[in-house]
Order: sequence, then C-alpha cells, then structure tokens
Amino acid sequence: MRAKKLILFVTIFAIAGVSLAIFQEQQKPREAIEIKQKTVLKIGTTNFVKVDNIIKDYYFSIFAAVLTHESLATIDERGNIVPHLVSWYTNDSRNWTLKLIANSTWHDGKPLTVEDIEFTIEYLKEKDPSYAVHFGFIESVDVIDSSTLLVRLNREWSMFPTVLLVPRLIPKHVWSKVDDPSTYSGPDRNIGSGPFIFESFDPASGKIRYIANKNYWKGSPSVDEVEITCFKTTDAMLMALKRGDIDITYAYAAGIDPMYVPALLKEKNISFIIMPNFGVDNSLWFNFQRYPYNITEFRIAISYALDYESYVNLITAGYGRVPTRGWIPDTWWYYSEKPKLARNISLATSILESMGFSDKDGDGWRDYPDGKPFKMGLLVRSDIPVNLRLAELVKRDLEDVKIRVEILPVDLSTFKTLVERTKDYDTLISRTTFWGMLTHAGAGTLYFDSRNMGWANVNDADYHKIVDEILRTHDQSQLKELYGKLQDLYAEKMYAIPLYWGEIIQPYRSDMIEGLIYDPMHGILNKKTLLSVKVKQ
Amino acid sequence: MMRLLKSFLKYFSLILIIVTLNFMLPRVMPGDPMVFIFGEEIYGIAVNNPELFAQFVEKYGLNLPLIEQYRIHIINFFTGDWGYSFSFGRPVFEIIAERLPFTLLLTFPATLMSLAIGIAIGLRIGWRPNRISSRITTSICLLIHSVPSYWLSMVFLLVFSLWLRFVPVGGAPRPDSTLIEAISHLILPFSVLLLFNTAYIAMIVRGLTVEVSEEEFIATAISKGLKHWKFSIRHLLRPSLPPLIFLTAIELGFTLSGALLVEIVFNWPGIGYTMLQAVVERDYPLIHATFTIVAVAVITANAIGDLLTGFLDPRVRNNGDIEN
Repeated sequence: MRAKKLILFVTIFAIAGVSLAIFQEQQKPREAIEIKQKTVLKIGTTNFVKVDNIIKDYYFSIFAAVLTHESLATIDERGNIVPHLVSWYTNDSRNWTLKLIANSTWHDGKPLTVEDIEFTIEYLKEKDPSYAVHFGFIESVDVIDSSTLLVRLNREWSMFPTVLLVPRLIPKHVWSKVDDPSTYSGPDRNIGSGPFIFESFDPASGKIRYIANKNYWKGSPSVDEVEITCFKTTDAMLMALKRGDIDITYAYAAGIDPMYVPALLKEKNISFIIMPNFGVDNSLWFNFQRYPYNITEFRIAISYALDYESYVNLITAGYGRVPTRGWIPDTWWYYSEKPKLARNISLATSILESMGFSDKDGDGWRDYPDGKPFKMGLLVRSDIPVNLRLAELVKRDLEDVKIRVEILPVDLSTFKTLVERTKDYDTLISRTTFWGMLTHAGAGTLYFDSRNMGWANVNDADYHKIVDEILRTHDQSQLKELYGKLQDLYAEKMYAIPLYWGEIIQPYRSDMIEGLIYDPMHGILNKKTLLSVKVKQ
Repeated sequence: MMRLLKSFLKYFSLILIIVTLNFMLPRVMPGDPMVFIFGEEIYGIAVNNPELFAQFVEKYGLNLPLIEQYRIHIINFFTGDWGYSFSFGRPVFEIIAERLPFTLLLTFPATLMSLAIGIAIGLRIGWRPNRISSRITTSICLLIHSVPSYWLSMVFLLVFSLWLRFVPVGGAPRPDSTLIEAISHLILPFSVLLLFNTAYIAMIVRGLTVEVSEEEFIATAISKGLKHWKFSIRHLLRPSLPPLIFLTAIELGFTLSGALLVEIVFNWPGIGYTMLQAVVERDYPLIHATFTIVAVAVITANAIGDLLTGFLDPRVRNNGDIEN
C-alpha cells in the first residue's frame, strides 16, 4: 500500500513538473520577440505545402507568387490587369510588345533583364507541365532591345495579358544549368526578385520563413519577416488564431467557411475583412452534351426549383447574396444587370410537365417522357464540406418538384477526371476562381466552353461564335458589347445556375496587425499588404 | 528448420502479393495522377491539348502497357530503386526517411506503454469483473474506445492548448527545439494514442482473463496462496500469452502506418498523413513505397509473433498449429 502511494506521488509530481516546465517554455518565445523588436507577420494556412519547389508544389508556388517572385502584370483592387514589371500593347491581338518598366534585381543582387523574362517563358514552357499549358499559345519570344520583348502568339488572343499574371520570373543565371526543375534542390532554387527572400522550410513543423528584401524595387517591406504555418485542419488553424500564435489565416482564392464566423465573433481581438468574391461561388453546372441537360427549358425549370435564399442563409450564414440569371457577379468588369434568381415551384412543375417529365409509374418521382425512371446525378467533391452540405440542399429542393437526385461525392482527382477528361457526369457543383474567370476569353468562358476546360461542356454554335469574337478583338467598346451578349446568353440559356454569390471572409488579429489590403486574385496576402502591413509591438 | 523454411516461403509469397496489390489498387482507382502533375487549375485545359498531355504522360511512364509498368515495378522493387514521388519531386525513400522517425517517435512508445498498462489493467479487471472498481474501469475503457479519436484529439487541443495554453496547437518541434519544447509538441498526440491503445488492449486482456479464470488450475493456484502479482503473471497471463503475442506483434507492426486522424488534428508530420496525401494525389511511387513498407512491417511482426508463440507454446512447436 505504501509502495502504491509512493508511485502515485511520484507520478503526480512528474506530471506537474513537466507541465510547469512546458508552460514556462511557452512563455519564452514571446519574451525573446520583445527583446529583439523584430516584426514578424505570422500567417496560418490550410494550403498545405509539401516541398519548397515553385515548380513542383502548387501552394508553395502560390506563396512564391506573392512573397519571393514576381509576375509581369498584376491585378488592381477592381480586378483589372495592370502593368507590374512590364507594360504591353498590341495592334492585332497576336503580336504583343512588352516593355520592361521596373528596375528590379534578383535576391543575389544581379539585375533582372529582358533576357530573364525571355528565358523564364521559354524554359518553363519546355520543362513544366502547367506552364506548357499557360504558354501553349506563345509561338516565339524575341528580345528587341534592353527593355523590349516581342511575344508572337499562334492565334489572336485579346486576353493574353492574363498570361502575364502567371509566371514566377526565375533568374537565367541559376536555372539555365538545371535540366529538371521539378527535382532541383540547390540552395539558389528559390531566388526571385520579390519583396521577401526565402529563408527556410521545415516540413516537420510545417513552417516556412521569409526575410524582408530591403532592396525591393517598390520599397522595403513593412515587416522584417513572414512566417507561414501550414495546418491540416481549419479548426486547429483557428485555435492558433485565437491564441495569437498567428496574425491572419490565408487560403488561396477563398476566405474561411462562414460557419466558423459566429464563434470567432465572440473573440474581441479578432476582426474581419469582408470582400466580394471576384470568382463565382458554387454553381450548379449541367453537362450540355447529355440529355435532358441539353434542353434549355429543362435547365430553366431546375432554376425555378431551387431555393436561393436558403443557400445564402444556410451556406454563407448571411455573408452572400442571391445571384442573378446572368451568372457573372457584379464584380466583373463588363457586368450587365439581369433579373435575380427566385424560387417558383409551380412554374418549375409546369415546365417539367409540359416537357413530358411526369410521374408515369406512380412511384412519386418524375420519369422521362418515354416512361423510363429519371434520376439526376449530382457530382460533388467530398473534400469540401460546404459543397456536400450544398448538394444536400439542392437535392432537397429538387425533390420538392419530384426530381430524384443521386449525390455522387468523389475526391478531387476523380472529380477532375470525370468532369474534365471523360465528361462522365449529369450535373456538378463547383466554384470558380478569379484567375479562372479571366482565362480563355474571360467571363468564365474557361468553365463553359467544350473546347476548353468546359464544366458546362457547351458546344452551342452561338456561344462559340461570341467566344471566338472576344478572343479576336482588342477594341474595348466591342469587348463590352460582346461580354454583354455573353451575359444575355448565360441568362437566356442557363448553362449553369449560380447558387449564391458569396463573400470572402478574412479573419485577422486586430490587436496584433493593421494595414491589410485585399486583392481579388490572391486575397489578403499580396504585395501591397506586404508593403503596408504593420505588426503592433 | 523445415518449419522456418515453410514460414519464410509463406511470408515471401505474401509480400509478393502485397507488392502486386499495391501496384494494382491505385491504378484501378478512379482518378488520374496527371491532375496533380499539371495542377488542379490546369488539368482541364491540358486534356484539350492531346499532344502536350501525351508528352507529359510519357515522361512519367504512364503511357506504357500495364504489364510493362508492372515488370518495371517488380524489378525496381527488388533492386531497391523505388523511384521519385510525383508530388514531392524527391526520392520516395528520402520522404519516408523524413516522416517515419516522427511516426515512430509518437506511436512506438505509445504502443509499448499501452501494452504494459493495458495488460496490467486487463488482468486486474478481468480477474474480479464484478467488483465496482472493475466495472467502472471497464466502462471507462469502453467509453474511451468508442469515442472517435478525431473528437477526443480536438477536445484535448481545445482544453490543453486553447484554454489552459500548456502546449502549442500541434505540429512537430522544430529542429532547434529544446527537449521541453519537443515534449510539449509530443505530449497531446502521445496521450491520445496511449489512452486509445490502453483501453483497447485492456478490454482484450480482460476478456482473455475472464475466460482463463474459470479454468480448474486457477483454483489450485489460489489454494497455493501465491501473491496476487505472481499469481497474475504465472497463472492468469501465461495461458493468454499466444493471442497476446499476436496482438502485440500486430500493434507494433501497425506503428509504422502512423495514426492518421491523430496526425491530422495535431498537425503531426507522420507517415499516416503522407500515405493519405499519396492516395489523394494518386502519387503511385509514394503509394507503392509507403503501403509496402507498412505491409512488410506487419508481416514481419506477425512472423516474429509466430516464432515466439512456437517458442513459448509446445503445442504450436510440435504441430505447427495450436491444438484444441
């Protein structure tokens, strides 16, 4: 009995000792920071980085685009593409002249030249699968003089400046010696010309560190260091935000799920930046080349069956709006006003009945006009909880008009394969990014056109004609007219139904930082923020 | 000797089957590794450019007939050339060597400790199952085992990290961490695993003990007046050793596969999450390597368990099987 008591005492003593030591250790870093007076912007993200290679790791490359590397063009606060390192002009949408306007240097001190730009385009086009796609239309790049480049495309493309947003410029003197950039791990692999210099990546703790580039051509960053911590769950990331371990959370082209907002509102030190989404939040996409989704009346009937107000309330927690029939949100450059979507079950029912979609076998569900049972497949990504919830709501609404729906949750790889490669789906739920909205002929054409990514798989001749005209013209008034026609077509034909227009919700520690600026493409983490953000001491 | 040879052949065939399955399964899964090779935003554009798409499919050897891919896979497996990860762009051995120590640091001590504590608790509550203390302990073990590990991990994080602020919100310690810092990162995931494994093992040992305690030789042992711990080890534990050794072998074998949900909640950079990433991204070389290593570890542990059982139990040693 005495031995038992002794063991119990020793155990309690050991646990108390370890806890105390840990607690004291936890206090140490804060003291250290106070002494050094070094300002560190601490960012938490669920965009998980695996390897510090801009060619290989998608999310590391996203961070590189903002912190360590530079692109040729950038985005202003209204979503317009504006010059960054170069300005551009064209007379025919096929030959584009680029003028180097920045006096930028690489992190190793060497100047950034037009030869580096030429090299970046040619090297990445040859070596990297995604850049091979981005630069696929580039026929040639020629250096004209020390500040001028001529880029010749293999076809007319008015939206070419979107490509100038893409490259992370890399130094020729480093990469010309590297045959396979996807496996290169030399110490100079992350040399860029951006406002921060890559310092380290520790896969164990998931921390990436960057130090300020005091020689950055647009001015010295306002913080000394940036530390990004990768989290595997949003819950853990938000706990870190509440504790003050991180200053802001970040997710590329997205904010946090609105469902987390009520709990965060109780925290007095956490504030929010709420911005309109420049992409289109989740839409219901129809496979235009599959019956009956190729019938305009059918798609319109579906649009009347959906309860948009409930999506705004239940999915965005009120941080969103009911969209219009024109699909494109009012953040788009050439937005034209269209009627708001609204639920009208009797109208949906009468359209379906007039098309012959009625309950013929008496089982309570609508059948095809020829009597065969009808069931709509709804493909949705299983790794996005919001989309799963939304799919259940869409199913609920369509069941109100007696349409049987089968939700098909699949992982990202399967989703992409079914939707973009084999085109084996009836309908799907997915969102667009701002970058995606700009690509191809802009206005989301990337997601509609069957000749491109084409989630809606639209091979409608009227649609292709407008898209091709947009691709050819660089006249702004003509572009405005064409985009107007495109939105008319979206509203009239409803190739896809926007389910809600959400807002980007960005929480941050207002007691720890100030001076955040929002960018439609990269969100809260962008070069303007890095030059203006202040870490409070 | 013959028994050893038979065992070796049995386990070698098993490994061959596993290597084959690890090759086949990811390939019969829906999805395409090219999604992550091109990038999720680009894949849909790339498939509309068949020439370009084919060029990169060929670069990764995915254009070869399946039988040819399998032939290369088997040769590479037995020559130790397990290739480069599609998603990391690094040799798979390098990735495993980086992640496995974190997994073992967490799971190995937790498993060993839970075996010791679980057996002790199991013996105690199994010997007198109707005592109030035994019933309470059994209920606690059942409760712990039936609660999802993900949920318990979140509760631990909430209490010890957010409210009490004793420990950081997950992640492994940085290379320059002190011992105390390292412990502060390890203590929560370790505790969750320890609790879960202990509850599980205790319940199994309890069941075995209850069964053994009804045997006649137990009454004889009691009548000899042995001390409780001597009696427990000699008479209660010993007859349960063969199934316990197998249980231990399997538990230790699975320590290599990590603890996926615990790794996710605590942001632990172990092999379990790496396996999940490999599957999600259809990273064939990494799937082959990680799943094969785990399977081989489990088989090896089983083989050792097999040998030990033979050593401890004459019935197995003589007949190659346990007689009833």
